[in-house]
Amino acid sequence: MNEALIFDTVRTPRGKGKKSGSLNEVSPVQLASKVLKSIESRNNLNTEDVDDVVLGCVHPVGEQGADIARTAVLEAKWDQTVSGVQVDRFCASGLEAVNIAAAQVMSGQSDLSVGGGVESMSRVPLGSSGGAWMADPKVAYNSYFVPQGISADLLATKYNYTRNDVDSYAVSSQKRASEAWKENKFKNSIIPVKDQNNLPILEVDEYMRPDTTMQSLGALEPSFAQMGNQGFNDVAILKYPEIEAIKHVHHAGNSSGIVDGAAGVLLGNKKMADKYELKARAKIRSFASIGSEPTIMLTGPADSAEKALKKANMKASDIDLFEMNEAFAAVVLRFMEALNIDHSKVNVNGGAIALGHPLGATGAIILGTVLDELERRDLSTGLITLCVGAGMGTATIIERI
Amino acid sequence: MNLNNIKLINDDQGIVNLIINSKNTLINAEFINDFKKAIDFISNKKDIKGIIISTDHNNYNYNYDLNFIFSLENSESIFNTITKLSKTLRKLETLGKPIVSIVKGKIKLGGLEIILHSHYRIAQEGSDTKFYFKNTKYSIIPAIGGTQRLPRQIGINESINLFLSDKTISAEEALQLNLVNEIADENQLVNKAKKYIIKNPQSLQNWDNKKLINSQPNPFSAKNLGYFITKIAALHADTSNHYPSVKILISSIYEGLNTDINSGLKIEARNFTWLTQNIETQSMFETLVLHSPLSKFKDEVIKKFKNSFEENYAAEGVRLLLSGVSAALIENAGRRLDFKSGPLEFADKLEIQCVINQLDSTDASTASLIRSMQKINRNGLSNNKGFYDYKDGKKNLWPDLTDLVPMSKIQPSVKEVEKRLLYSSINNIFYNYFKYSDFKNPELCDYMVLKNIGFPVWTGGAFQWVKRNGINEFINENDEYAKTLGSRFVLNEKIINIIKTI
Repeated sequence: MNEALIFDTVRTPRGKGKKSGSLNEVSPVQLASKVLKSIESRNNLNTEDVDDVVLGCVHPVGEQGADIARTAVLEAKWDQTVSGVQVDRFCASGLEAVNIAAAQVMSGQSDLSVGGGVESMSRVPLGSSGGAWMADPKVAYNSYFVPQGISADLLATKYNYTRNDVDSYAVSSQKRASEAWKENKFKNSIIPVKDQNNLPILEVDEYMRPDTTMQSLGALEPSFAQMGNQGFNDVAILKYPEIEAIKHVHHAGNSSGIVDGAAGVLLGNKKMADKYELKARAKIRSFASIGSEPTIMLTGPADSAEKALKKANMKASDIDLFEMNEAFAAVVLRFMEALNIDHSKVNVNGGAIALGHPLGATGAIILGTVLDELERRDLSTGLITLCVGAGMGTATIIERI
Repeated sequence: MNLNNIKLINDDQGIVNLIINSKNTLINAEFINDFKKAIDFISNKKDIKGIIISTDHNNYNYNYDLNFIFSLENSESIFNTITKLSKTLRKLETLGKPIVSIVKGKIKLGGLEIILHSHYRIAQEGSDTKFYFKNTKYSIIPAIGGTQRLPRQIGINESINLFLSDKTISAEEALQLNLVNEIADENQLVNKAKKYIIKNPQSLQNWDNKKLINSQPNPFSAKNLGYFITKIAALHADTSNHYPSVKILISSIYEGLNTDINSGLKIEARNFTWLTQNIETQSMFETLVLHSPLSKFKDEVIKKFKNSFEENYAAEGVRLLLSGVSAALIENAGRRLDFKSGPLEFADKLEIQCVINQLDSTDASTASLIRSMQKINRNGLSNNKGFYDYKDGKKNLWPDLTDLVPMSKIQPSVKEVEKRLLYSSINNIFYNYFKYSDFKNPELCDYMVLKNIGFPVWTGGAFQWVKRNGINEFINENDEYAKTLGSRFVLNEKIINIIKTI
């Protein structure tokens, strides 16, 4: 099996995912093609050497529809021989895209591939792609569908994470993200988004609230209490009859931010490393996706991490740094508890609670984040994982070379 | 043409009057055949201008003959029978001639379905004209286009609300809902119908009109998508995993409205057919429809029966608690069975002293728990403290309960807890069936426990449930329970003899 080498990681800043957000004026295909152009120029690529572009996107409808990966390839004016494919594994789509690109290289079917993702949540809102999972009565009944926020509160209830626990976690995410920006820790991967006149549109992650405190979070009302009372709490309890009542602890301040953004990871084999004299920054050690119980939905990261660790013949203690997507604070708390890992190794530069979670792109973004940090600290191994809708998890282990 | 159920009369303007003059009001094999013959006959007449459908009854209260439907031998024959009528109505609807229905009196579901295929519906003025809906939850879904035409006509949520209610709709309300197009005086009904036919020589339903087809309700419009997602949860929560017709009703609407009327009608017929084979549908039908009694029971007997039933249910919950089962699991098991509330909440409602009434000498620990709670004034709902704390209209399980009754580390599955509550309740019903001789047969007892004492309706009653879920299993499982749990699980000979013959 060939090694899948990581040459480059690129991401846009994350813009607030609403009409007033800075990236709202930029279409998702533009965000994605800017990432591709940047990968091309940073690595002096002749794009006809790229075999495939795999992009995650969770709502592939409207302007994110019709295979946005191929559309972005064309819009980036890459060679017409470069194919593009859009993939959807909900919140892990960006990481799944990297894993697919890696698999192409590892299996010898590709010399050079891009994995990444894009989501303009301000332009194509959450829920835009509908779906049988929640709308088809037979499917929703049989799978005990509840919206993800209810799952997050169910998780917190089942594992006894209090409002205080989840808020404390959120404060630390904001602190870490703010310090990371102060020390310019994201500079390796981040590319400013500019317009056609080369005028800047957004250069920094704009969702952060560095002044967040326990007091300021304490003032926020739980986001999912009302939704829960419409019947979803009862559905969750039908599935988890040992629970008396769902405690609603999550709110806008301890859940991932809704943002716009795109990211890409350039992967290839040794032949391409030699041809372009590219430094292989890291290799993919293993990756895995799993399915888990869909109503609580968000316990998959631990299972997928363990599966990937097993494939790499490693233990959790062999991993230097973890990136576990902060979809909701309780998800990270559960992940750390299940794998018995210390917070000091997890999301050391903050996460989606502070910086935002552009659904289709996040997996590729946080892979870049952990690789940059491994290099900065001169450490070796990183594990990236995300919880995934409908009860899944995806994980990837990388190792610096 | 004269048939047993239908009269056809041509007038001098080329309009056919189709008059339903069925001797009874049931949609059965003969009705379906006559309807088909009449429509086939009309469709061969090229020179007619339109059709007016009415009835010479005072009411339009046609309903399915469920006896007939359930007597059909298998799924295939049910599907074919339903499809035959559905296709006949569809043929009429797409004849290319204007079809007008005139309705008056009581209009029941089957009648409503028959008129929904017509292009124009006129209701007779006055308070006698009423549309009667009957909650699908305890019955079966519409099968001849109701789940397809009503939402296309009046909207998705409006239809679901009506189908899941026992509402009665006046002619004026029906007009506002677009269920009928016009209200007219009795003497004007036929004239108005003729007027419509002459003015609209080529009538099309909106769902067949290429210009209007895109304005039909779409389950994935932003509004409807949100509606479906929350409505499904609300219905699922309300029915646990019982009352399948609720799920099948909303499914038929969702599945059918994602496509056109022709596919929608097939989807509906398949869902209906599946439902007729469901054990809960059959149980409820047998007890509530087939054996619906003529006489009422004595209030006094029902009251005693109900007290005993509720106290027993509460006591079984307390015994489960004492055996180390978590209070939340016990309460949720009771709710999942569709008891009005969990057993511990029932104990609070009745005052926890009630549990004592159900105990025998072997139950010293249960009695002792109740007394300890009474000592600290946790008597139940009356003083806002019992197994629950009650405050400001909210309740939660008493947090210190686990200090008094420790929870086992290993908990049973919710199914096991449900089974224990169900068996105990059934045994209580059997015991009282003999104690009070008012019930002449098990069928009457089943009807009574569903209607009057709060035994879950989906079971079809205690006898019905045992019959359909396995008599031998019921006897054997009770024997197992009796080994450790005592006399309330010992079935006496009399009851065994009865259940063996039901």
